[in-house]
Amino acid sequence: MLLRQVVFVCRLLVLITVLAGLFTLPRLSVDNDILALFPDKDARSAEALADELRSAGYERQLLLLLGAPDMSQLGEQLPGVVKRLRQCDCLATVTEGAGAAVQLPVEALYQDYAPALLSDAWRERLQSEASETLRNQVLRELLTRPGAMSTARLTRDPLGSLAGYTQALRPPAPGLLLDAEGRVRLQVDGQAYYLLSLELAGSPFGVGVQASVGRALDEALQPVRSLPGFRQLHTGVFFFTQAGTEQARGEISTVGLGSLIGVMVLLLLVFRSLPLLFLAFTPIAVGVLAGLTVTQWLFGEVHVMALVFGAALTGVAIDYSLHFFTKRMEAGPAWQAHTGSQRLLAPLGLGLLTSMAGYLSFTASGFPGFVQIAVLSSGGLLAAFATVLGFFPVLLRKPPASGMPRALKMMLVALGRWQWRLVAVLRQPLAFLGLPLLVLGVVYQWQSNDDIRQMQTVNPELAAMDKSVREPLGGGQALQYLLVNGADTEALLQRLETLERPLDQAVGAGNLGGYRSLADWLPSQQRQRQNLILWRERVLDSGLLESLYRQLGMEESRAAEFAQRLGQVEPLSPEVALADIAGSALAPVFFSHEGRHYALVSLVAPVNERAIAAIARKADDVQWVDPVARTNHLLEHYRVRAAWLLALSYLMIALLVSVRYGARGACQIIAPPALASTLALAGVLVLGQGVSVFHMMALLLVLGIGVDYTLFLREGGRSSRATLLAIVLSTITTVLSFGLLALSATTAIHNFGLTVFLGIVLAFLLAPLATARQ
Amino acid sequence: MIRCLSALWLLALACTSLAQGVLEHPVQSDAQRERLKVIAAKLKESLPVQAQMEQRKHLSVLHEPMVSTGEFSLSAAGNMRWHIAEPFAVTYRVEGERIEREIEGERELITASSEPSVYGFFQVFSRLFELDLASLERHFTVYLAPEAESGRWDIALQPTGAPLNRLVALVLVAGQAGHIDKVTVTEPGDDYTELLFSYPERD
Repeated sequence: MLLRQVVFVCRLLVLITVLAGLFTLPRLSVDNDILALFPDKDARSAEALADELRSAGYERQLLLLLGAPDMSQLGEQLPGVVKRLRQCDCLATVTEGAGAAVQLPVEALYQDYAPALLSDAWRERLQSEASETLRNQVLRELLTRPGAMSTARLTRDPLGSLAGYTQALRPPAPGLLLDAEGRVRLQVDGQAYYLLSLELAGSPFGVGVQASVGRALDEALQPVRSLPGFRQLHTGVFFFTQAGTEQARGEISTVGLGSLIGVMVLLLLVFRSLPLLFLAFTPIAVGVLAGLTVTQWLFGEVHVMALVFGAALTGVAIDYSLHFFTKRMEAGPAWQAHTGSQRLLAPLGLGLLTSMAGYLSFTASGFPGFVQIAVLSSGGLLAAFATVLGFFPVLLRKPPASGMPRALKMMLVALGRWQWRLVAVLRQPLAFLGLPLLVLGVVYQWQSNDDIRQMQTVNPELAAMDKSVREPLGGGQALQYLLVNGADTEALLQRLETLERPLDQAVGAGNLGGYRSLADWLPSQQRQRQNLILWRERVLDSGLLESLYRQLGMEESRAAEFAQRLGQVEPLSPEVALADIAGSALAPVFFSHEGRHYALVSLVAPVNERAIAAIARKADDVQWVDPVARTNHLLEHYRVRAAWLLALSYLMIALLVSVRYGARGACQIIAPPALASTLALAGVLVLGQGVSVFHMMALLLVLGIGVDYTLFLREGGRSSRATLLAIVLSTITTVLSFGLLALSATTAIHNFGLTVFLGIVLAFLLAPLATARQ
Repeated sequence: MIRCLSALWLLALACTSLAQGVLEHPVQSDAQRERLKVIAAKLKESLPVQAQMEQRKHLSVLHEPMVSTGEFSLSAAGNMRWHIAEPFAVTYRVEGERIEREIEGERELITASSEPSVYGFFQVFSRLFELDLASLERHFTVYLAPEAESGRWDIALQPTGAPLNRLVALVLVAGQAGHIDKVTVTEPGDDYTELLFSYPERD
């Protein structure tokens, strides 16, 4: 009676799923942004805002260097390349030249504030040099330096001090040259290149942006690529993510194809029926459809990682088909669909419940991506289960012509016997002593690794290219930065100015490559007033300007007029300057948040982390931010949390199954996967891997699938060849789909795959521990 | 007002007298191109060259031009020495893309990022002697006045776009046979600079 109701509910569920899925699928919105995988804790904190603004500026920049033995020929084609690039909406800006050679929007504004904007060097010169020396130096520059003397310069910046001020805003770029045609060239390893700076219109992590920018670059560069001896260098986050996507795509197609072919060949060999092969995949198809629909409804979108991993987890649903098929095969001509499904209801139902409990415990991890994976796979498994129970009894009503082939039977008997022998050895009292030893060994060998840099595999060719391009451009920006805040802009700028002395000392001591601060772009009103006082005193009151003008032969009345105008210069105010500064690509990030004003002090590598962090600690309202350390800390946090989660899942599953099997039975059910997980952990430790959150996630999977094995064995009885065959097939298909991930070149995915591989094979071998003694 | 007008008049006078209506003759015909090639070939033949130079800076706010004098030399390989002797001694040396400045025995390297305008000036100037029409036309409209008296020539260069047109309004180059006698650089405002070269060897 119960079965009939279950079947009815199952059919209804599948019907609704398919209808809802067909409605939802065309509206499916897939999120590509990898960053969305990370928990948005502190999303509203100033630090998160700073990160976001900073990466928007940094991640979207890319540099393209084009060179050829005949540079002038290449130069002629350059405007065409720029024009073609600009046609793509995927690029916000395309500029010839780079940072150091590009006119900054704010420079025009500075022209009227020369006396207020003094570099440290000029302040010192004004304080220490004699008037006459200063005047002669200025005269010499005006008379001998090409392009130095102009009316604008004489009347607004008579000392020429502004050049020193604006020069400090640009990173020194030793490799930058201007050629005869006024084009910016960069000298890299002794070879010349033209330089193009590009800004992406979207995040470089978006797969769509990657594709369209890649296409735009290909099309724009095609004509110059055919030039003899053409060479290209490039750097920017885009190229790293592009390489990462290509690698992932390559691995997915290899692993995916390999696993699909493997599974199909295996099923054909065992069941020798093409219709059964297709039927085996039907629950997965319905499952994936259901998973996507539920996820889309709950979250409004499906993350691409959830799509990949969630769909893969739903792939476990093939086990349901396998159990049905093997049961039918074992029964042979005596098969009765109704009785068969009745026998399968308990183990499949329990399997579903435990798997769902296992996956749904992912939600406790806190990673939004994993929450989606959990929802997608749980929903998928439920729909797959419904498909098997709702429709397989009807579709496979007819008994097969023959039972299980003899050869297969004998193989299973042999395998079963061998497996039992192994388990019998493990049941020796001596082996029980081995368990604490194993645990001790794991504890002794224990090492964790939460370093994100070691989990990502950065394309070494791109990394080398990045280094060789950044060096002649004045060094790379460090990932770490200082976040400074103040009650208003003036307080913030003053705070930034007090940081200059310790940071300069750090640069002098070799603890820092350099730094860039908003105070370089706009000194505080306080400092500007001090500058003005100094300037008026040393340039106007001392008669320096008057004598300079006289020497140049300027009419007295005009000289007096200009001097008066210069004497009336007021400090440049933030209201006037900040908008223009924000428009300069080289300017540091600044913003206001919840009534406070913030600015980033960006650091130039190399950075002695301890020394600079100490400077931040000593100063008020200054925060040392190390994104790598923070991510590592986060990964560590999640590794620990995942470990607790794992323990929690074991407990929950044990409680769940204890209802049916009692406490002792529950222990027997969870012992094999627990032991398999410990052994797998020992294995990866012996291989020298440090345990990370990815190992832990793999062990969660081992638990979910491993418990299925013990449950089926226990329900199916140890003598059931159908159950053993289903478990063998399940192990092989799991190894084919997840274990193959161990071939990945990305460390994190490799570790995940390897752990699943070891864990699942061991869980299979140890599964008979769940049943009574022979 | 009167001062301003007189300055403008002076400028106009200077320009017209120098240009001799050169702006009416953009280089278009093959004959003009051919003549430019001949001039370029003669310039090249005369290398290495040494000259006395005088620089006169005319600023709208100054009555008199500021004058400085010195020597200039250019080798066949394109290496240039630009030495100003009066009123201050400063020497620039240009070798390929490397530019060096010497003041009172101290040398410093000028890079495109440290002093873009100085760097740009010498890069363009040292190649003026190559007079390669194709490369000039990339950034300037090139004018060539008809031959007035035997061997004399006047060329004008007008920048066609940014960033050059922000710094320079017009460049006039006047010469005779294989020598440049005078270069006038007019800026977008009212300021302009004259560079006068004399060649002791030739005279």
